[in-house]
Amino acid sequence: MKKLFASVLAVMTAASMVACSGGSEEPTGGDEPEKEGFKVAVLLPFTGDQSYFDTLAIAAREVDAADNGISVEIFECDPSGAADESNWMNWFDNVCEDGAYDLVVSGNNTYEGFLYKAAEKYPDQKFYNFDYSALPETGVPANLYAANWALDDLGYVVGALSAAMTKTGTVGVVVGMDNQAMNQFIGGYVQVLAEKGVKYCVSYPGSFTDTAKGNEVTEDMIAKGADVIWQVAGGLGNGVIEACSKHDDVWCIGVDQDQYLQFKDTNPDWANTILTSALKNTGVAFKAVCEMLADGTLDSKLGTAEAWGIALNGVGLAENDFYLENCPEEVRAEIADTLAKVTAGEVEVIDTLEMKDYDAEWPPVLNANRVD
Amino acid sequence: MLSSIFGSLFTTRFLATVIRLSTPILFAAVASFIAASTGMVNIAIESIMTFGALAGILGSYLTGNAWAGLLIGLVVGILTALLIALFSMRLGASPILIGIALNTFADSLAIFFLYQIAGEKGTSASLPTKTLPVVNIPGIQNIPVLGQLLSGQYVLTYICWIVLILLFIMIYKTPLGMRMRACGLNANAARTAGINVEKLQIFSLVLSGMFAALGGMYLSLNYLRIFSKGMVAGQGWMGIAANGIANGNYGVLLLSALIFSAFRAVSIVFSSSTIFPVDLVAAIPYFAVFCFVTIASIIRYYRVKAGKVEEQ
Repeated sequence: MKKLFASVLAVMTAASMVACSGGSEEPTGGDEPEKEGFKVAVLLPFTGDQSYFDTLAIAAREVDAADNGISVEIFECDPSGAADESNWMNWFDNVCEDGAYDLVVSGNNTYEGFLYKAAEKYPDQKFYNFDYSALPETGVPANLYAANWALDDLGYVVGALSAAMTKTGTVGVVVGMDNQAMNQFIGGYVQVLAEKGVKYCVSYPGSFTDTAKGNEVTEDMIAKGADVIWQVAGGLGNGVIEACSKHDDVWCIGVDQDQYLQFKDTNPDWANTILTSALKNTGVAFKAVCEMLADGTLDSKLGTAEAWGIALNGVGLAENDFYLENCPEEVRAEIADTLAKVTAGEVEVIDTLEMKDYDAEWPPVLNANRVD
Repeated sequence: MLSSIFGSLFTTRFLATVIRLSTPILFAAVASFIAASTGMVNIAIESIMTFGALAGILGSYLTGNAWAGLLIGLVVGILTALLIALFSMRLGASPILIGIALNTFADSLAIFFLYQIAGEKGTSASLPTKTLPVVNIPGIQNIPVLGQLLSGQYVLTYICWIVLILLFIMIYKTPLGMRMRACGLNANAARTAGINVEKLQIFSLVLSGMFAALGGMYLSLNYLRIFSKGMVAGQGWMGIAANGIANGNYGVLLLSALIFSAFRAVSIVFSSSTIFPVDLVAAIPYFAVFCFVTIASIIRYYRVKAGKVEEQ
């Protein structure tokens, strides 16, 4: 028994050492000869949550595989999402210290604070923040280019689509958490529904993982009459899709990546309830930034922040075959019209991210159509 | 507005929601209860649920049969429970520490295996998986209110109800159950009476692992038809809290588990309302757990003081 125990312990110790060293050795690139060209480091908290982290990681692998002189390495720095400062600064030190990378990429409202600290600490290193929400008070650091997503516009378009598709006159949205970054999704959404006189439910389950809650929240909305439900809730959104898939006359709208394509082959039940997805094309922007890095134009962008909207294909709807098949032509024409209007700036879309005090500045008139 | 929200708490649909949400919490509660009945401590229920949920889905994918997946999930649950037995009973480690260890690495280990097999880190969505059915009982399903509650539930919900009844019979109506409770009350006395205490404790841990795994598999194989990272989301802990309140009383155990499920359902109804701050609403079930555990402790304190029960 003791021997068995000892050998089990030995194996576990060895395994944990392999696991640890796997992470910390990666930045040096192992024994591979130094690759000519540009090197990009992407620091993500984790991948595999079906969010825009995944979209970015997929684009990063594509850029790396393409024959363009750019190599990309992805580091998963925070699998538990603990947002621990010492851990993150350690990762930034690892990739920035010896200047091995031409560009260091990171972002998201939970983790961007560490990125700004690193940008201050390493003034000669170029940084790209792929999703900013609160820039430092001193302005954008001179060695950093920040992008964010015109989620207000995206919400407006999704709202317009929901309003056009609903048969019951009630739609719904499930938002993972009630915070300013997440509410940027629903400002425009609610605005367009108020314009069109469509009733809506908004639910904040307060989690991104509690799939069961996502399911029940959606059942609750469906019972209140909602028949087009948008999920903005990461893993919890799987529960939303599951609930929608059980009702024949209810559509679900996905988020971040094309969720119809994601489930099409393996889970047709789910795919066939996802009318379209509200895309946040972090990959498109990442590829563009890599190109700018390669041809030297990125330097002129450093120190600036830019919103990637519909015009730049930063956000949009997934126009896959299923969408073309199930969305009537006149609705699609109307959405194309809305997209054009928003792009041209003809519509003043409410951007909750610009509000200092969300609760105070939220126009109460928009709550008139909300179903409790 | 307020009345419409509170009105929606007293509908058949709300009760059906409570039933759907109660299954994993009931499984977790009996898992904790059966271990405690022989004096064992199993706080690894959250992690066994995670392992069970994943093993069920992966088993179903690998064998192409949901029931085979269920069996594989059960085996994984039993093995994890035996691991706890090995470390705590043979190697002398504290069962609390083993539980903490298991709970700490459960999520990551699950993702590790998921990634090995599915190539994804978030969900099992890329695996075509067979799942367990919903059962409609002919005859009953046409009765107005009762039909909606008793019929059309998930198959594991019915299995849960059967388990609850069988467990009651086993613990309170058979010599085996009496011996198990004897171990829990005073292991030394039980040993003197010729009861093989270790054997019964291992048996109770195995049952505990099975029930916890069933709770996890209800989520993945039956209710949501997918394994999704972090999907157990504290439901195992609610079961443990229910057992803490019950303190050996089976009826109180089931009642507490149902009350927690009801509060979870309340937080779902309120999560789309404008009246309460949503962060507060998300905390309702956990706050309810806190309140009920406190009340139970106060009651127990006064009963001990009055000499009605012995201090434990």
